[in-house]
Amino acid sequence: MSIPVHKYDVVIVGAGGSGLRAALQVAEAGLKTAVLTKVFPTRSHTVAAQGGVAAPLGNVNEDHWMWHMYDTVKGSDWLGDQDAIEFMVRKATECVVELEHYGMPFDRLDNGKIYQRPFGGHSQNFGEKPVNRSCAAADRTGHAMLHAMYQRNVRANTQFFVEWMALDLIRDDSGAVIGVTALDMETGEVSIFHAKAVVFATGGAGRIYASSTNAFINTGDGLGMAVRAGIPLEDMEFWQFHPTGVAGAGVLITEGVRGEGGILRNADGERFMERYAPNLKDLASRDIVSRAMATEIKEGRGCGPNKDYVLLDITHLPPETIMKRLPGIREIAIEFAGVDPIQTPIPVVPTCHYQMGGIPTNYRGEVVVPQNGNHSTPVTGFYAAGECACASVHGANRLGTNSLLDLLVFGKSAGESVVEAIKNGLPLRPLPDNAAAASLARVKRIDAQENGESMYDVRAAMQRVMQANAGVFRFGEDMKQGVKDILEIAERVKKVGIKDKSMVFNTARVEALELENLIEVAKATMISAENRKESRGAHVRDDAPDTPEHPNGRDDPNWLKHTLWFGSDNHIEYKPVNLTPLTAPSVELKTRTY
Amino acid sequence: MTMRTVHFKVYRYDPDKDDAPYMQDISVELEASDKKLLDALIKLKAKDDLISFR
Repeated sequence: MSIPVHKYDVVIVGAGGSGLRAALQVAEAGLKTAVLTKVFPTRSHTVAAQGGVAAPLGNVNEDHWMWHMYDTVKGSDWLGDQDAIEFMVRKATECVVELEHYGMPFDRLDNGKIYQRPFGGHSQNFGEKPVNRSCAAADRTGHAMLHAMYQRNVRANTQFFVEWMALDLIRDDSGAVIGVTALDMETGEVSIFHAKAVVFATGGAGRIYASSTNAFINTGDGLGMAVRAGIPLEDMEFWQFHPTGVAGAGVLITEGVRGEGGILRNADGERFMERYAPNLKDLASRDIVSRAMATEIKEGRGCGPNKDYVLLDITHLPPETIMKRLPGIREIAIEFAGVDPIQTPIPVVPTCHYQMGGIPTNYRGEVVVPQNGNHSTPVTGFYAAGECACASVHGANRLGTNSLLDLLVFGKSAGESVVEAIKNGLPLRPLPDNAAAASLARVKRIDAQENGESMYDVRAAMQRVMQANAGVFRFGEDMKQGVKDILEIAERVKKVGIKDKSMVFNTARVEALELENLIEVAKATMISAENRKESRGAHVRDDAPDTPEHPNGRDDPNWLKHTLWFGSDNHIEYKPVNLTPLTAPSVELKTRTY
Repeated sequence: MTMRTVHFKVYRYDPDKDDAPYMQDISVELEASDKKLLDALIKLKAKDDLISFR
């Protein structure tokens, strides 16, 4: 069977923020660039980013990149690599100004400069008081960003393959990445994309959980592909639960609401964050706020008939501010919570939001793996950026607005690395004869399966296991059970069948292929979480409590290291955290309080 | 959680198999948290994966 082969200099998988930013860099350098995307580019999940992009512009109050760096390292609970963090914060201003020049419609201050609002964990003078660092376009910053970058890519002649799902990485005998296989969802045909370099910008996998702020497309396709190609995943135990998802619906309410003055209240009407974070209060880091909310609910101070949510109150803000700065939030509250936040507080619960871990990369966007004694050897031809990648700038907990910064800085950086590698002679390596064999076998297995397991049942079972055993608070015994359960579900995934055998827009087949990616992410998360026997950032377990010897349950002597999970046999290796920035002094280890 | 049964009439057409479009009757149980048509579509598809939407 002969399969169509498309030849490009560069293939980019994913057309969200990091994919579009990387594509722009390589297309503007004159390289023949293809972008594969499951949905129209401006429907990628970056579109849902609300509150803003962090940059120490200092337009409202004084700011400095070293303060931003300190906040990011502290936010990461010291698991972030300080070389990558310094790189990111020092590139922030440049990347935001570029975006402005691409036509991004930022909100304005009266003096014409870019509007900036406060956000959780971002502070002046090394944790002293909140700073306005988030550059915002109302509460639709990601939406505005995607449109600006998509149009710029059209201008640069980037070629988009819309409604194409990448299936597998293609590596040659030397291990170099030389392309991907992909499914045209409209026709059901599989093709090969043969390239000098492949950039993954496939986003996160929040859909491993039952309740998530993530879009249905966020199925960790890049992670699944990487795992099947023998690449380990880094720090997958760390998932961010956003404090304010609409209760019962999971839809995100931006932290920018609290940046504009919103307050969290329990059933007694108490502003409970004052007890948990006396300094930054409602604007403490997300893991801290989510845990405080879960504690309030657990201790019986939740609101509503079932006492299972808390309230986000902005009724004290002037209606004009809400209409001007948070119009989308008002719409979401009316549509999904049935309340107008001008008059009534919004019911909210912590909801799975962001994957801190991912495909291991360095700050140049090169995918790195352990090889011959070096824990970070670049894989020839393979790059990754954005949520699917782990540079690692977010460590054990990401700060709000650092995700949009991450995808700009590392999308660009990965693009620059690709351009440089091709300029230095990175060739189009020959395609092996069996390049598409694995993908075709996967598709054939699903199509041929008779009387298989229901894909919907298996997926729901996986999501329940993850929700129950790898949530805001984690328990040693539950995680052991979770590992056992998820490995059993992984066996069921192999027997999933679908009734729909058609070729044209067979979305059941697409979802079955997505499930094969999700389950890899779920296994990585459950096994890495069970394995890490300390509490750090978003990973907090009952058997690693807050003690004088280990404040917050963190155990630096034993666990200040990155997890690397290998899918082939579920074994775990470690690599050290880089505490040495590029030029700045190291942010020294200390106990994290807000 | 209050469940409610909702009946749908779905306009069906599979170009690979059907000569002409037809109507299919199908009902699903919806929960209070199912607020949008999309929530119902997802449950319809779980019952009959021959239904496709995007």
